Order: sequence, then structure tokens, then C-alpha cells
Amino acid sequence: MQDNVIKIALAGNPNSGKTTIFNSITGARQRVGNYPGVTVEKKEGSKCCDGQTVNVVDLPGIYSLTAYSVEELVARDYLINEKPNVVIDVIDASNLERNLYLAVQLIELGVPLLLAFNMSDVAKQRGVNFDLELLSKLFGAPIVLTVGHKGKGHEELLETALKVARGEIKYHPVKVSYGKRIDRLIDGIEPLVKADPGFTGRRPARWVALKLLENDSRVFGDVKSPALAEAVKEGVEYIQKIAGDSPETVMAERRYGFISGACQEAVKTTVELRHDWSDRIDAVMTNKLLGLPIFLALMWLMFKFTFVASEPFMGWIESLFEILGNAVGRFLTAGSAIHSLVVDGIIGGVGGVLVFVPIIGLLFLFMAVLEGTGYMARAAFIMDGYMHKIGLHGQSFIPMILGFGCTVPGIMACRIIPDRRDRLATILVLPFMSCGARLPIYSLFIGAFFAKNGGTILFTLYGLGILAALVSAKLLRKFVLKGEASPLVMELPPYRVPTVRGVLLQTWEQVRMYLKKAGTIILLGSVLIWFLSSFPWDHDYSFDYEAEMAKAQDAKGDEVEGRIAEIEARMHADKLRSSYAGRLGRVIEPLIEPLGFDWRIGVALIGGLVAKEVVVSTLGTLYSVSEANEESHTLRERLQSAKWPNGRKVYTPLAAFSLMVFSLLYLPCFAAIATVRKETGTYKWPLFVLTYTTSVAWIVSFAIYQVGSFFRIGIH
Amino acid sequence: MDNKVPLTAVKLGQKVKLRSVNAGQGLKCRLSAMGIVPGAELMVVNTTFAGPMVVMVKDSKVILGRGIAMKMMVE
Ligand SMILES: Nc1nc2c(ncn2[C@@H]2O[C@H](COP(=O)(O)OP(=O)(O)O)[C@@H](O)[C@H]2O)c(=O)[nH]1
Repeated sequence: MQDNVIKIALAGNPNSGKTTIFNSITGARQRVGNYPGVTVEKKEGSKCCDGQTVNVVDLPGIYSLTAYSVEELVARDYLINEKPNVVIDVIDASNLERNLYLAVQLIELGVPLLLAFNMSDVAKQRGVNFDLELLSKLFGAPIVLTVGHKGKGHEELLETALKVARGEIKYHPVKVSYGKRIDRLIDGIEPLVKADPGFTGRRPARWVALKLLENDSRVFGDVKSPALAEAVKEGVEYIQKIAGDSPETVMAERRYGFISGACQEAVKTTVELRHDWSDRIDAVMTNKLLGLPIFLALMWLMFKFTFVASEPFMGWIESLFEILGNAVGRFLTAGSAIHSLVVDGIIGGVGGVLVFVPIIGLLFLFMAVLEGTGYMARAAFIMDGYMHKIGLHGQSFIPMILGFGCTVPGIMACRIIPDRRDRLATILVLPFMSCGARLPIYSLFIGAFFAKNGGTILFTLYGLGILAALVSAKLLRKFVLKGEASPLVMELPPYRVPTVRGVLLQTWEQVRMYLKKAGTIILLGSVLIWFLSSFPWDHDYSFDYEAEMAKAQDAKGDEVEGRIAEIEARMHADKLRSSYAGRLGRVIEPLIEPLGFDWRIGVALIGGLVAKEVVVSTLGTLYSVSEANEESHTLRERLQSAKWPNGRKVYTPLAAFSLMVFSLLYLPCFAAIATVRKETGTYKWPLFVLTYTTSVAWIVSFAIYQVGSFFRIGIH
Repeated sequence: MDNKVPLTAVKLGQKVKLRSVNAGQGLKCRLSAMGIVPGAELMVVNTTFAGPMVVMVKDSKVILGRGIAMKMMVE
């Protein structure tokens, strides 16, 4: 070892227990990032043993090494370019043949390989006996039996890995036979590969030859010599002719043949035990009739619990930031711009975002549990038929449900959708799912104008959001992301009891990502909104508030403080009106007037870009109520009596409904837009979301307000 | 050899052998990687009304969307 660092890469099928083993080897010393240019997660960790630093990279969970999926490409490129000292292939020993398919491809790629037969406890239960020595010889790699969540065999695994890395265990790469005729074909192409300047020897020639025959577009792109190209073309035709199917399929078939042969020799099953408890649970959970109601009930419970359980935490965070703001504010000159920036802009802005951490954390905790148990795959199974009809994927449903809580984790959860276009379509319609932050807006206006039939209105709003998402998905599939949603092909893993540690680690990862965002983009956004609504700083008041305040101060009585607060608030509102945000609001007033909104609503909607509940607090400021929240009756009363300059009421029930609909549909908060940017990797899609959602919001609100006004519905 | 039917026509619990898949390369490779290659034994273990089905292949279960199941010919 020249640089004394051993690089271990962990490969394996999804659900083989790879993450469990990774966590157990590396402990808490993990770094999570992305592979350059793609949104595939890259987990790294390190460990010290025998005075040697060991770096462990967790490759994405994959079934093979083709060029058809990003994950597989990423894993392949990593193995080829980074040349890890040893690759541990984590294999689900209870499902050996399927899992060995990847192992065979790793062998062919010529990496120094170590096979971890994980889930060996399950295999044992099923009465499977392995002749490890023989298997090890047949596959040319050492094998270690492990039980992931019990830590069994991990020491030995690491020791063996180090031995392989140091070259103390010789491995003899075996050649998988594809049948005499195809083998001969491969042997003929190999020298041509070696002679081609496009292949410098980082990839084994035989592997290149195989991939070329398998129509691997990535490898084929590197072919330089016409002789090789010609030979490959002929070879492909030859295989097609002798086997009657495309080479990829034929080669896959032969690989399974090789594996089957090996397993017949070296694996003995003594008991035939099929109907296990996993099947029995599934008989209920994925039952034709019960599956859907159970799923919906679970989702409902998840939300109910999340909102109820996170409430006290949110209260604590709010008060914490209030205390913090007050404490820090004491060191700064009251009334100065810097005081306002720090207390209102930064602390207030970030606090307003951190308030959502409990909700996000709990939602992701639930998700991690559902995923860990294997229920998520069942959910996809249950929903696929319905989702497919609107052009989305079975796995689109979970992110959309999450979107009811918060758009950000919903968009992040779209990573589980394998096909890029399916994923994009889901991400783009997700903002229409009414998130929890829009709820304060609804409560305010429903309380003020629809006290009698609040439930119906709320239900209508959520329904409208879902409808907008579904229609948009359909349209997107028709005009932008053309084509059918890709069919669902996914493994249905057996039910398992997730480990506490695995669940917590996964949840923390998501929360950490959210926190990072709060510290960057959202912070910038809040400062921007603060700036717009606080400047120009020196405002010539049309009214002498100071004098009135002094007068109030002199006056005796209990309500002095109340009086002063009210005057301050009026002063603030006056200032806000002439601030940049206020000016902007008045500039856009003609645009939003047909929807029934005045400039104040315009400002509030702009404020809502930071987070939608800011709409409520902004309206509160604008209507001169110092402590505005959705419970504030004074704000409600003021809204009810607010007038246009011509004396007409601003908020008729119709306008209020129009405003709620607009709040539901118009562009999501900064955080959501930033997440779209991050998850799609382009500026194009966040811009699309921005314009699309806002246009839809405008058109729908316009229609509602104009039609309503015409028929004189809800204008009193 | 006229006993080939699409997978969607197979009854619950029936064991069949996969003959061919009529799909794009990418999809075929994904199926192959999950053990679904011509010649493999499949058993339908669960279905929904108009949606996907679950098949048992070797020792694992795989969910297959309706669209792809229709394009898989078995006997
Ligand atoms: N019975 C058993 N369960 C295991 C073993 N290793 C991991 N698991 C469980 O299998 C589930 C999936 O493991 P995970 O590491 O998330 O799989 P990954 O998808 O490959 O990363 C978890 O609930 C683990 O607790 C094992 O050796 N035996």
C-alpha cells in the first residue's frame, strides 16, 4: 500500500442489507454527498484498523452493471475509475441466484472481489446449506457469511477484505462460459479491443468485448477502430441468428445458466418451506379489496400523528427564536437597520423555517420505518394501477402524499422513482399538493368568511390541489415529457423489522439536508424579503406618530401599552406601504385586481415566497395588528372591514376564496424551488415550475373571481 | 407452440415459463437483472384489479406493471 489508505467499495442488490453492513463498519463517521453531476447519493465512511485507514464507499444498490440506469453507470464508473482495493459484494444469501448475477458481472469487470453472504440467518432458517469452499472456487472469490443487523461475521469480513486488498489472498478470476460459439466469438473480439486506441486497458478487454456485444452504448462510444466496430456488428447478428434473441438477453440467460449450474453443485436445500409470515401479512396488506383502504388509513395516521406530535416542538422552537431574537437584539441599537436585519431578517427568517424541522423529521421518520419494513414497495404495488392512468408511476404516490405535509421532503422523496421522466413529472406537479404551510392561510380566511361551511371549503381546496396536480401530470406527459410512464418493475422484498439505528440515521440524513438549505437559500431569501419590506429606511411619515405616541405615553390608564403598540403597528404599516415591497405590491396591483386582490395582498403573496405562512404574518403587519396569527380575531375583523379606495369591501367571501385558491396554486416557497433546482440539476425546471404554477394560479383565480362576480355569488 | 399467452392471462398460483419479452432494451435489461429472462420459471402470487401483479421468480418476488406484464409471453 503506497498511501496507506485502503479503499473498500460496497456493492450489492437493493435490500441485501448493504446499508446495514455499511453502517456497522463505519459507525457514525459518514459523509453523504452526490456523485458529480447526478443526484445519486454517495455515502462514504472511514475506519481505522491495524493502524491503517480504511475508506468505505457505499455504491448505489443495483442489480446489474448495464448502461441503462444512472445508478448502475455511477457504480460502474466508480469501479473503473477509482480502482478500489477491494469490492465487497453484499449478497442476500436467501435469494442467492438472483444476487449472484451482479457478482458475476463484478467478476467480469475484474475487480478484486469479496462476497459477503448476508442474511445467512434467513438462509439457514430455510434449510439452505452452502459449500463455501466450492462456491468460492467456482466464483473465484473468498466468501464470508454475515448477519447484517446482528453484526455477525463483520470482523471476519473486514479482515478478509484487508487481506484481499493487500493481495494476501490471491483471487483467480473465473471465466463465465457463454457457450462454445459465443465464447469463440468473444475470444475473437478481445484482441481487436486490445488493439483499439479507444481502450487504454483500464477496462479488461474481455469485459469490453462482452459489453460491446451487449450493445452497451457507453462502451461502444469509445470504439475507434473500424475493424472492431465491424466485428461487433457481425457478432451481434451472429448471436441473434444462433440464439434467436437479442444478445443482451442471451448473455443474461447464459449468466443465469452459469449461476444455476454452480448453485446446483454447491448449494443444498434441505427443507421446503414456502409460506412464511411475510406472505401471510401480504395476504391482508396487499389484498385486492383491503389494500387500498389500509394504505389510505396508514397515510392518514401518519399525518395525524405528525401534526399532533410536532406541535409542542414547534411551539418550543418558536419561543426559542423569540428569546434568541430578544437577547441578541439587546446588544444592537433598537430601531437601527442592523437591529432589524439581525432580529427580523435573519433570526426571524431562519426561525420561521426551522419551525418546520419537527414536521419534516417526523414525516421522514415514518417514511424510514415504512421503507425499512418493506411496506413502501407494497404501496407502489397498490397505487400503480391508478397512478398509471394519469401518466405517473406507482412510486410517484408516496412523494405526493408527503407533499401534503411539506413540498420539500416530497420532492426529495422523488428519488425513489427510477425513471428520470417519471421523476420529473412527479416533481413538477408536487407543488400543487397543498402543503401544511398553506393551512394557516386557509384557517385565517375560512375563520373570517366561511365560518359556517369551513370543512367543505377546506376539502374543496385540497381537492382542487389534487385535481391541478393530476391534470398537470396528464398535460405534461402529453406535451412536455412525452410518452407513457415507464412500467413498474421492482422487487417486493419480504417484510423485515427495521433497525432503530438504520431508521434514525436515514431520518437524520434528510433533516440535515433541510437544515443545510435553511442555512443557505432560505436565509438569503428571508434577508431579501426583509430588505424589500424595510427599505427605504428613512421614510417621511405622512403623520406624526411620534407625537401621538408621546401623547399616549402621557395618558394614564390600563390601555397605554395597547395604545402604543397600535400606533407602532400603524407606523409600521405606513412604512411598509412605501417600502420597495409595498411599491412592488402597488405596481402589480393592476395585475391582481381582476382576481379581487389589492396591493396589500400583493405584498403578502410576495412575502409568501419565503414560506407560505408568511402571507398571514405580512397581512397582519399590513393591517396594523402587531401580533397577528390565524387566531387573531382583530385581524379577522380588520379583514372583514377592509375597503378599496372607492369604499367597496376588499374581502368578499368570493375574493377570500379566490385568494385561498391563489395561495394554494401559486409558486411554492423558495425552499421548494431550490429543492427542484437541486433535484433536477437544472435551472430550466425550477423556472418552469415558477411560471407554470403562477399562471395556473392566476387563470383559476381569475375565472373564479370573474365568474363569481358575474353571477353575484359570494360578494356580500 | 400455440400455447403462448401473455402473463396477464395467467391465473394466481400458476407456474409458467417465460418465453419472450417484447420491450425496449432498457426494460429488458432491468428484467434480466431481476432474474426474469427467457426460460425462467415464474409464478403469479398476487394481482390487483387493473394494475400490476407480483410474480415469484427464483427466490424473490417482483412487482410487474400491467403494461409490461402484457408484453411478456409465457407458456
Ligand atoms: N434477517 C436478516 N436481516 C438483515 C440482515 N442484514 C440486514 N437485514 C435487514 O434487512 C433490511 C434491509 O437492509 P438494508 O441495509 O436497508 O438493505 P439495503 O437496501 O441493501 O441497503 C433491514 O431491515 C435490515 O435490518 C441479515 O443478515 N439478516
